[in-house]
Amino acid sequence: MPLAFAGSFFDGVSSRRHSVQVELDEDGKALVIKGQEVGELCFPLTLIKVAPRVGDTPRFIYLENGASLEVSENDVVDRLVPSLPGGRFHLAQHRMESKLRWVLAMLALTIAFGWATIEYGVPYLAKKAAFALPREVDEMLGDGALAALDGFLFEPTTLDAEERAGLRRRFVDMVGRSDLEADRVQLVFRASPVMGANALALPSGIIIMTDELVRLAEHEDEVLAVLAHEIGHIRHRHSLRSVLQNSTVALAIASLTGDLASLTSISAALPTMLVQLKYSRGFELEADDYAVAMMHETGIEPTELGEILLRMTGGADGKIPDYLSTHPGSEERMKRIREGM
Amino acid sequence: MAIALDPARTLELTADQAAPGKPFAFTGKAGEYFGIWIVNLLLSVVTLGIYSAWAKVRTKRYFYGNTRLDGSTFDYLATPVQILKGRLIAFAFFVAYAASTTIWPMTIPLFVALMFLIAPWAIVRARAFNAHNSSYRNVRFGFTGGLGQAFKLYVLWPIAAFLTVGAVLPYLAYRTDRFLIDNSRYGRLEMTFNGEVGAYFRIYGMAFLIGLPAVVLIVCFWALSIYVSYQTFGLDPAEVERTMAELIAAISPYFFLSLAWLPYAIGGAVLLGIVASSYLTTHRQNYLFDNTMIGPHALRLDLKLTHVLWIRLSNLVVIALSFGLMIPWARIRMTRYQIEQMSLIPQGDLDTLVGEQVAESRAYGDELGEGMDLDIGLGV
Repeated sequence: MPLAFAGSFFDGVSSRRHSVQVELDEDGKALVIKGQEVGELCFPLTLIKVAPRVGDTPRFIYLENGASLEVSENDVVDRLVPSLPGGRFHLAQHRMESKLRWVLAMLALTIAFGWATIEYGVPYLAKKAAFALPREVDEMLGDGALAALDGFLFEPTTLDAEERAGLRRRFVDMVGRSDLEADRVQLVFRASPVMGANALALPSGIIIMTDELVRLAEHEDEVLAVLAHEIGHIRHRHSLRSVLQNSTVALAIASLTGDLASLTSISAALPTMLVQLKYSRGFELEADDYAVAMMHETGIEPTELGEILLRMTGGADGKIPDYLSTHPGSEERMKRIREGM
Repeated sequence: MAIALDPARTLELTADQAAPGKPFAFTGKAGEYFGIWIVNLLLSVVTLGIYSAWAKVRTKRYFYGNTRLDGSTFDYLATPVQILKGRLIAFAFFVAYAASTTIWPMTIPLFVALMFLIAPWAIVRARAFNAHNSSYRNVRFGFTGGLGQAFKLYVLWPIAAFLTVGAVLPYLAYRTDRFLIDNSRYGRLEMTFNGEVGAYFRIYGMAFLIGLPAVVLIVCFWALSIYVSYQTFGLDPAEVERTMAELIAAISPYFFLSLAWLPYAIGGAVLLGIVASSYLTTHRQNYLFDNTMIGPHALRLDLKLTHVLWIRLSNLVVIALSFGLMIPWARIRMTRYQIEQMSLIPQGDLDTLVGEQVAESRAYGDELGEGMDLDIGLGV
């Protein structure tokens, strides 16, 4: 069947449209264009460019001197394309986009790949990157944080010197059994009526213990259990990994939905937040695992961690659904602690 | 004469018969676009974003190619490699920004200032790139906006708007539209903007009035939360609860701000915000097109606020319920309505009065401006 089709010819000087008939010449090396107003024109295939097919939109064929053709018979033009550079790639693109089985396969692959990237890809890359960076980077992240927190969250500690010294001695002993350098972490005490019983690990290595937590604990071992969890955060460089993971995911989701209408950028904020919360919960569990291992080393019962966690969360568990929370639910953590024994 | 003839009306009738408007048509289909969209998405993700340049070109070609006027469609001429170059440079800039500001937060103001200075250049270059790479009947569009004007519009005037709490926004919008249209052309045909400032103040004023209850509500809520946290600072949990209950009991009779009302109040505020912003964009777009001429030809746009709102809100619901899978459908739907409300009122036959090619002058850096994705479309 001879390769021939109708089209609109534009001469590259004005926007005047000419109806023409186009066909491939006998040698198959040139396009012959015939029309009432244009006469007969000949363009060698080596000098023309065919636009890639997108859906069923009219095909543009770019000729010499800025002239062009607008053609609606896409299927016929498709026969011309394989002999042109890049032609097969363009046809493959169109085939993937238009055949139902390919589209469904693409959909399934997208969901699978997207999930795998968020679940494994991003955390893995962030971990590698974080551990490749020197510890000075972590220290710069948390620089000045304690001073800022002292401004509105903390008050000077009311524990007596003996109590503090005792806890610090056991803390230093625990750090000594870990693979962290002794000067990597430092324990400080604060009172915090606003925050209540809690402990905080800053990326710079400062671990803050509140008076309220010391008083909530029934014995020193429980305090040490929480400290082990916080040391875990620093040992695993969670702050840095968190920054890397969160910003990567935010950037990825924003750029994927950014090309589309603005109404979708509102809906992009929610999945971004959900993923970041999920990462946060993952870090908490990793710190728990580290704490259990640490407690084995120091001869403390791992259940101590579970006990103090339960008391800290009080009755607050279950009020916020798990997927909206920065920390996993206490039951999940207890179960994991018990299994780790 | 038995019947008095109204001269104005007669003129109207004659003008309509002489130059009937040619409507734009949109032939895109959701099913067809879904295939393109999903392949774009997968390959962009798998190639860590490199394919996104090809994705952008294909998407633009699809929407341009399905926009019909008088039997011809629009063509998007940029190549994926051009887009990729711009995006890679923009990405490098972003990485530098993220790394630097994470380690040295004191560099944030430096980067903000830098972006303020680059923005007008990027906007102008992006617009020039997109105009130059858009054609109709093989004649390209063009944009020649100057850097000085852009700097005033995108840096100085926004600062003024911020300082005057938004009072000069309508004037800024007017000046921006005039800058964008007056510096655009189709081939040799210059585009002109005939709008007036007054209309902008009317449109913005109305949008503000519509959104006012939402703004008042949000300000009240914000003030209240500050007051509550101030009052409860330093108290232990049981006392906090008691104090909050007291406060709420005291305020309820006046502002109906008991906790039960709060979700509805916030939902209402968001909805009102969407209505106000839809009002603003719809009327502004209509006014922009109605007052734009391409050489001797006029444009018309007739978006109805009720339609726009309905489409926008139902799109949001459908997208949320389908976990994003209906995004292509939503986009086609909105685009179809917008384009089919557009028409061109040609002076004479479109085929005889034509645009002619202007000698191309490729400005360096067009792709970079495009890569920063700051292109501001003509409403679509």
